[in-house]
Amino acid sequence: MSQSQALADLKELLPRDGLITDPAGKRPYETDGLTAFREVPWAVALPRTREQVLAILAICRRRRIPIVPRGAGTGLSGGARPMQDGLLLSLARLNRILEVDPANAIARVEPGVRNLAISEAVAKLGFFYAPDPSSQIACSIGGNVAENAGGVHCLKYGLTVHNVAGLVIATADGEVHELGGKGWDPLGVDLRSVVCGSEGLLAIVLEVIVRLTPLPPTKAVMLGAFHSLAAAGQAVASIISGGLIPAGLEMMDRLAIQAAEDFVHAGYPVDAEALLLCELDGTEAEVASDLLKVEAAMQAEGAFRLEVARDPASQTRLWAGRKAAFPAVGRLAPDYYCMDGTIPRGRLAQVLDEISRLSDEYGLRVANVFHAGDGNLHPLILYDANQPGELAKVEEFGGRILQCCVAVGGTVSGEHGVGVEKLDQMCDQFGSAELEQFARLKAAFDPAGLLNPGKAIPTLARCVEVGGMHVHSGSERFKYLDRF
Amino acid sequence: MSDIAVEIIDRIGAARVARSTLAILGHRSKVNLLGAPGGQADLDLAPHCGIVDYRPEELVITARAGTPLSDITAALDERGQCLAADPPMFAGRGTLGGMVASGLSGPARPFRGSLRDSVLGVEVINGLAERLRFGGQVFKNVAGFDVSRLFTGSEGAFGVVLAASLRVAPKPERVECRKLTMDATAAVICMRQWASQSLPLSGLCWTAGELHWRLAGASCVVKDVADRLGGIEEDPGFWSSLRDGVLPMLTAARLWRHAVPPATPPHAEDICIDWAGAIRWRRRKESVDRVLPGESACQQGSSPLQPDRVSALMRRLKDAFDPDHVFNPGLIHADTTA
Repeated sequence: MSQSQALADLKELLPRDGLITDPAGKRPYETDGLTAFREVPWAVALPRTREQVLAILAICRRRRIPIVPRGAGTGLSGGARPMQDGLLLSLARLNRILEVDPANAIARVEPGVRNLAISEAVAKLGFFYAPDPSSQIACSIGGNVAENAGGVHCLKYGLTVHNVAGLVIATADGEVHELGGKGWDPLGVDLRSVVCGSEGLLAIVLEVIVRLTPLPPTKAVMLGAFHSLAAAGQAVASIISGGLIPAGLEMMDRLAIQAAEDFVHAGYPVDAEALLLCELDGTEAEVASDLLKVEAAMQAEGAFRLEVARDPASQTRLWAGRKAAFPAVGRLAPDYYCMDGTIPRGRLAQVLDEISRLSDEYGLRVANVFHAGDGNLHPLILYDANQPGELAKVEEFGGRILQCCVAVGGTVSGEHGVGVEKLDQMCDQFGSAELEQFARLKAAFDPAGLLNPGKAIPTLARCVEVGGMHVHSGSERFKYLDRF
Repeated sequence: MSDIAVEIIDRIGAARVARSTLAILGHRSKVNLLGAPGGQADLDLAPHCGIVDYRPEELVITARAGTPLSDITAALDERGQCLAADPPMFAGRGTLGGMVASGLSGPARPFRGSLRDSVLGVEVINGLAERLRFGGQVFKNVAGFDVSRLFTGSEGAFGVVLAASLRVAPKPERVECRKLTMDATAAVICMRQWASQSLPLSGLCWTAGELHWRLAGASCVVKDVADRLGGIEEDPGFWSSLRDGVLPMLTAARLWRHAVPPATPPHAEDICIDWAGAIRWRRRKESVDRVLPGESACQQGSSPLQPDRVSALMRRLKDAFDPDHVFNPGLIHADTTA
């Protein structure tokens, strides 16, 4: 009854193309980047203005319809998985860059603006927007805020939370809050940081003020090849404890190197057990001096091949293999499952040994790609979903990798979010008192529990949901995107 | 080094049962700036101290709330590292817990990140006397709501910070400090121009007719850029005095600290412009009771003003962590019920 009333209200509010209720039209929205979880939503709303968003919130509040917010739908943990009795609220059409203010080094944008579109719009003024999740060509800034998105360059430039100066949000009760602004830090309690990474559970993002970073005048990329993962890990430790914070510092293992080389022919040494890619940026003098330090650190740990790319073309070539690592590994088996844990860097060798031991135990191959600088590990477990029982085995294997990350002092999600995927692993990482505190925090923003219910924070009663990023050959969404 | 967490939890539990309130205190170093917390009894965190874990190669330090900041900076200094946010140490004092609770960053903030940026994880006690851990010791961590950063700058309104893990930074190879004679209007324009270039800045401040700049980074770069920016050399002590609020002009009466968009043209009452324009110290004839959205203001010795609309939500948040209002009653503007 309330659903049909809500539908009538929504039809009255939104123009014809702003509301989708027919099954064929709703189909494209049944999943986000985590395709293993599908659900056709009750309806899809596509507002174009802030006023429409607020009116939709009012209708859903009155009719008690849960809301699943969605940006570009590129998320990898099922945060935007629809509910069959819930409204999918797409913010993709709120896509205007409202203001670029170079004097204050900020841009004010609507949530549906694509991440890369911001950097493109401000490049001519000598700026860029630093967080660069791998899906940056498609993902939206509102989604980035919801997930606290990272990227290859966050080691030096920070995550979304470090680059958001202000937010305009609407809570489920229809209140609009302006948090922060064009300045640096407001005094007192800062709600921006708790909204960043809240996965759509606390509020709807209506506007984002992003901080712009001056474009560095020069860049260089150095490749180092090693005979062991431990040596490469040691080189990472010595670069960082030597006082350098590179713009990016990435590692790949033998299987990932070989798959990438077969796929894009980046010129990687296929006889290496580990490969490091280190990007440095800054003034000419700074980059030159940093390159010497990185070279010395890699040599000291036994790098048997070093290559420096100074021009954009050769930098693109060196990065190409890393950026294509996910699809490249995807060619080795019918399916792969992508994990996303973070560990203290010093535990790398120990964790990789454990993954390799588990790989033998389960009889499943694993390729490792690693944001080495910040400890964010992406093991890719290869499997075949058509083999009976293999999927369950993979999920168990993946869960044990994340348990291992927690055991060494890390976390179950570095950048992909919890969504519906890692709800049960949240129970490994947090105790019941923390989970109850999360629930009370959620209720302070959303007492009726209308926003994205069932995601990100498991209830104590059911720490049971499982899943993963399951990619069946040929069915990967956004496969034209680089995956890091 | 001592761990009195159990004792602290017992006191909070007892206060809750007795419906009494507690004032969370460390070294009392920020009482002049932020005012003294209310509370029927003091909860002294200073004895809960000691560095628990320091891993230079991971760029992470974990310490108990009562650990003196001077102990932390000394330990970091020994390994060529520092706190990137350059937090103030009033009268050379202050604790890790007080630093996190006040969330104050120093003059390097626009260039090296805020204190909040560097908080990776916290161990806290909420108003239900529950010991909770949020975040961790790694930089990239999106599991659960970011309670660590919510506590940073909350001035104890939500609970007691027992311990915190911070991301630390390599100490710059070379630091260079100079000043140029300039009026406030020209200085703001100059600051914004420099801040929008890729320069190794770690401070831009105008006060008393002079623009002060600080560069920090690799020697070759700092030297090169220093010659380009120009000015006469000055003692780096200016920057620690500015950071710690002991410059003579920062001790004046009726002083307000405003956080504004950095390119805002100077106001006649501005006596010091820090953070490349984003902080204005104003000597005001009249009191301020309202601020624009996105801005905040604070008089020396009282709690910050924030836009009113946020306050109702803030009160609900307070109730989510401290339903019986045990901690620091009245300190946070939003907390009008206590």
